[in-house]
Amino acid sequence: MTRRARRAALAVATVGLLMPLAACGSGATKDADGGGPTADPSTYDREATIRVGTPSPFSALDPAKQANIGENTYTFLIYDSLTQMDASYQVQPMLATSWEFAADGSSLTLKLRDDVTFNDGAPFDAEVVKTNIERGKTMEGSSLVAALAPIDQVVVEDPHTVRLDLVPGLGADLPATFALNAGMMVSPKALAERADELALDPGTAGSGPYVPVEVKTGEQVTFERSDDYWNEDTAYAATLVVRTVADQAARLNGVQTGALDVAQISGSAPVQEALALVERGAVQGDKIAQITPVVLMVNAERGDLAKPEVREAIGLAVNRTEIVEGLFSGNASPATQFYPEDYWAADPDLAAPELDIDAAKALVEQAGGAEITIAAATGSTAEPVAQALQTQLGAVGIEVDLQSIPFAQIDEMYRRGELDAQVVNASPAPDPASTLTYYVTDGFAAARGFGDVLGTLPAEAADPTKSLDERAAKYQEIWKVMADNDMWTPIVRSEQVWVRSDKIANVPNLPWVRSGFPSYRDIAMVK
Amino acid sequence: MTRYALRRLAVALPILVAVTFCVFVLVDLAPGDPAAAIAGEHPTAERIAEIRASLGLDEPLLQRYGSWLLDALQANLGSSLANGQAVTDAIGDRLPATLSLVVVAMLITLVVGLAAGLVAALQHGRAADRAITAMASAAIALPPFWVALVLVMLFSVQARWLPAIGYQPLSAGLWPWLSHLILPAAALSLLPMAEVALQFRQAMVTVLRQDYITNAEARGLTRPRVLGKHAAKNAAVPVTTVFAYRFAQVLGGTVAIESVFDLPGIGRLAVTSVLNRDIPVLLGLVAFTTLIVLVINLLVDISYGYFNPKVRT
Repeated sequence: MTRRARRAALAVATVGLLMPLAACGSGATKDADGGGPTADPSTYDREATIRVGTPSPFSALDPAKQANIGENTYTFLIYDSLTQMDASYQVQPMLATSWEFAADGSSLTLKLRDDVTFNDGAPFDAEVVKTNIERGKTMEGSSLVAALAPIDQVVVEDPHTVRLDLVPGLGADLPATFALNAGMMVSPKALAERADELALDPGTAGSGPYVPVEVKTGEQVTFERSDDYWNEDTAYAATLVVRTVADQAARLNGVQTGALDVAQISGSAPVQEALALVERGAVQGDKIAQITPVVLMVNAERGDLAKPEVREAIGLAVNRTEIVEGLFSGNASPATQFYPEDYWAADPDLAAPELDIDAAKALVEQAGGAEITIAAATGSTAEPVAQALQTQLGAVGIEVDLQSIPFAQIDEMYRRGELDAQVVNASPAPDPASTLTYYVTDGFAAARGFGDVLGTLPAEAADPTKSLDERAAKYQEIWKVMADNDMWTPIVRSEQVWVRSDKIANVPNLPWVRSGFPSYRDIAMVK
Repeated sequence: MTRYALRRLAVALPILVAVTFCVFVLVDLAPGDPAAAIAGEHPTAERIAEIRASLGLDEPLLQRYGSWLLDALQANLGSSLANGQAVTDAIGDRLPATLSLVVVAMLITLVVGLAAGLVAALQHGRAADRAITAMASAAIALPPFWVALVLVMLFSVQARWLPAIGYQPLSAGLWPWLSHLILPAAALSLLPMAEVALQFRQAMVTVLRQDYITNAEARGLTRPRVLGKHAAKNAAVPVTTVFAYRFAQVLGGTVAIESVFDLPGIGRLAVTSVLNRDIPVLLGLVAFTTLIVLVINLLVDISYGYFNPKVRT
């Protein structure tokens, strides 16, 4: 089977998997009152107000000041980006209608839409792209500096064509990166008049389908549909209220009592509780497999993890099936690699090491025993997985101490080399080039112990002159080398449930929904 | 009395400095880096270092604390590292919800706690006394977080009488405001209410045995007057102490209760600022809540003078 054919088969299999899950609780793709995973657009209530409960907090609604990926749940509604990701994690046009790398990889040229106007009346054109990218690269306190680092300079070729001159060897990930806040465009008028206010009061600064009319910082944002949005096939609800509800039980109670119309539930126990309510008919629910894996990452320079035998033993001792069944009650799937098997750069043939307790024990004995510390983010879905690993690794003679660290800090501490290992609910970048730069190739302490096992592979895989298939082949080599060296041990990919009223439709089709921070542009309520 | 109050205020300032300094040190010792929390997704090490330098996080701890303290003494609590919002604005935005919750919880505590304590004292040794004492003792053992979940299940999810989450300001109307506060305030007040009831019962039982109560009744004073003017006033001192102590606990309890009921108060702001290592917001909150607790303690101290004139000297 060719790779393309395999990918097509996987896509079909994924859709096949998603749909029955999505229909969970309703028994079909439509609920009694007409809502459901999908619904006929002619039944959408265009005057509806939809109240969304999300665990993602927000502190800044300026794309250049966003600190975490979850804030996109809010900014996706306000700002259009140059590209977008569809529900199957493929890059699609948005403000840029097409893009092309130069034959030598020295630049990326984007063709832009000519019919877009910001909600404050300013027109969108190539100068706007230049202004926004330069702002993201140079503004003090910008959170986009790393994402835009591959861009050396921005050249306006004509009002609707912009050329990005690239730092040699970088930039292959830009089309995917532009689907996030790095590609969100802010009105030049707003930037000129009130740039400092955008974080707390973005108002009409975006060209997106919704305008925030009330921002209660850290609490909720009320959005109203923009009258003249260029894309008619979105923004079905007149008003969206997106509310940060940190507590899972509060989100569940909110939907049950009608205070919320839809809410995202994650984590083993809350998902089970939500599914029990769906089963009883108390709420409707869409169960959606997440793209983000729970991964054990180790620092091969620290303590006993410097011994290859110990790292190999870990790979052999992790019982994914036990974690899926025991911890997640089946609401997860074993993960064999960082990206899911239907992703373009994944290797559908890469398998996890066979569980072999005896071999693992022998390796630990050969290493003279092992003591390691595994960190996990406080209260995250990774924390119970770390506890399960403590038991499983203990059974082969690896003594594990657990360490609980705030979510916002754990990744950075790991990369600085301050942790033996972390179990993390990883958030893969839309393009693997960014993921590898972040965790491996940018000189971070945690990756140093592995030496130069990847050689020139990351650079070859991130070569923008290569086709997607050529890049995919290189990434498949990389995943294999990383697996052979036990650099990362992917464990499970969990499932989340969007509990909702029976009038809510379209949740499984929302862009980014498999990442856990969907764009709610396309959510709908039926009449 | 004024000199007494001023003396107490003079003691409050060093306490405030000591508490904020302890929190500053604790946050500094905790793992993690505020610069990493605000550097965006997938930042480079250089970028994080730049942000650290621009925020002054590379400076020695004492120098950073000294700068914060100097600004704080001029009523400038700084700005959030996460979004630049002034800390005073961040607290001010969330204060109404927390203040409403605490006020309603303490009102429930006083009204129900005193009434139950009075009934138990008047029925001393009888069934009502034993029932109230048993219920109060059980209530002390129940964690507010668990009580909150049970209340939501019974009165919101099942009966649909009261909202499960959210908050409405008083300007939206008395009932919308109160309906969002009844359950969280009930959960929060259960423990202090039980303690107030037990303390008041015990104090009243003791006072009602005193000779001056017998004399007052012998002089023909009505029962309500004897209870209100002579007995309750003397029994109030231990209750006031419990009230002040529990006020601080209720204020701290808002952290959990605001999460369960999704109330946009300073408890939730505290959780977010800890997770984001937003030090200015966290210090502002600590300074503010410490100040409130100190003021409440001061008012309680002053009230002792009213209940017992001997302490004024």
